[in-house]
Amino acid sequence: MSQSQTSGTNRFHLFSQYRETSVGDWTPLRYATKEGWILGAWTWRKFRDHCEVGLFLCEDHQLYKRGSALNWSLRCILTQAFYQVGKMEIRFVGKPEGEATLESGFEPEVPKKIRDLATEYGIKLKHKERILNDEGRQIYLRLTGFDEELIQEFQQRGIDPIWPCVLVQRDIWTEQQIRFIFEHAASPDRIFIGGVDPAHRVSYVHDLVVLRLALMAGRLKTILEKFSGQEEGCTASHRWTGPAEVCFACDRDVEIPMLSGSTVKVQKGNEITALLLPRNVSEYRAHKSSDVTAGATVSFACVTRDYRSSSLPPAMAGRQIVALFDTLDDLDSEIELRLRQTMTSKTALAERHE
Amino acid sequence: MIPVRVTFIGIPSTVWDSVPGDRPFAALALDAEGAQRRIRKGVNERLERRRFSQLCQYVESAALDLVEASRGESIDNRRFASASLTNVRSMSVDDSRDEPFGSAYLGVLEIRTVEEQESLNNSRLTCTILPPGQSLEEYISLLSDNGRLACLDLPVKNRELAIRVVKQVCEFLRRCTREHCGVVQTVSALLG
Repeated sequence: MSQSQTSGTNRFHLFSQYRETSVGDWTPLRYATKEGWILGAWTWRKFRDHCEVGLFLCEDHQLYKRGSALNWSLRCILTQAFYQVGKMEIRFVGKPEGEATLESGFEPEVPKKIRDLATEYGIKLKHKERILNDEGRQIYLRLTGFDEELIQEFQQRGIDPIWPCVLVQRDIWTEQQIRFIFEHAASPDRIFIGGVDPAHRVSYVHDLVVLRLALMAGRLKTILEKFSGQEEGCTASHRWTGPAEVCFACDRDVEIPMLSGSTVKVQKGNEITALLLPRNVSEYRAHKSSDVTAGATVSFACVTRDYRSSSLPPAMAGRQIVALFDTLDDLDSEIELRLRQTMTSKTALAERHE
Repeated sequence: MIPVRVTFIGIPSTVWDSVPGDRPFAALALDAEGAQRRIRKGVNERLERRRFSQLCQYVESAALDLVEASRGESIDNRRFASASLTNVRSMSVDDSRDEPFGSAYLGVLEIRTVEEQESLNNSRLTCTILPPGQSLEEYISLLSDNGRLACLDLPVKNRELAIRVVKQVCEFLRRCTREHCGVVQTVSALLG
């Protein structure tokens, strides 16, 4: 797949997809890319216990990944239904023949594309003209891309798997960040439903420890992709190899600028390991000995802007260090914003890429 | 789970009342208490939560700096120049490979917080700033309720670990009480 075919990084919702609508009013929506290509368009309205779709059109474009138009349009519809009605039941409405109008709808049946996708996922739709709540949930889980094993683990720990999927769809956390949070947080369910309370300082900081690492990995990926010596940038992938260690790989050779002025080269096909140290000035001082020991086994350490503070002794002198543009306080503010967005269903998210 | 280190910093009352800078720990602790009270009442909640977070963050950082300054580390310690730092003491509980003391302590605190959900004690348990005197004594009694510790909803091995770590922490806190110290707790990732 070429770089331009990654639909995820190009998605852009022209309309405010989470805005409140009145019961029974038709609302037209479309799914478009930053470049202006409209990949999907639909009209929908909500009732107390279900949503109706009167028109559903989607078409792939050669620039984007095959199937992304249907994938993202369907994700948007199901997310909207979940937020506004609490269910993922979608009814398709329209006259089977004769003159259809916007009022009557144009979709007498579940469109063939959606039916085929459901079949591909092994889900047989029971009704011709509607997707039932259970069916909608199953399709949604598969669309988000979490594997069956992880979904089962969510359920075993009493977490409704729809919540993490909705967070990914709403661009609050990425799929990898959700996995990391689930594996390392003391109470991932609290994070997924927005129940983290700053007034409970001790447990809040305990959660922050995990969320800062998840966010920092995303920020470092951005530095690799956009600020590492290549005019056109690159695409980086990463995987966690320890609680604070991440392996990065790039699709072309890049040079990462270090704090000392030197660079570290990442060659295409090779991996490079980074140690993430999300701390403020006082914490860097307090943990300098353990941080230096940990930094010995990795290619470079990633620190926050607090590390640049002039009062800080050069504890990691001789080590390769990348400094983020953010201070720890900036990371915490971003986390606070995301946690707040988790709790609301009424705010359209600003476009945010890491 | 990410390994954590919980550090307890005992600050003598003379230092508590005089540093850092213009607003000493004593005044900052009162501010934090006020913010917690307003959050509980639902007054300007969002702003107060942010204020409370920033206050705690500032106090925790200042307390860590205080420890470094008391050890004679070369940091900018003008903020602490007006006080004698010889009696500042600290203790940490860490997650080691075999025994996750730090996580066990946070686990106990979490369970006790949920148990005290409805009472005002809840805010004492959830705050990282413990002023000298009554507040600290209350905290110790809430934490070291032996009857409740024995009934913690944890596997036996974890319960034993929890009881051990709570005893260790309470011992340090009692010593701080005897020496009229306030205590600040910090939680940080142990990445080494």
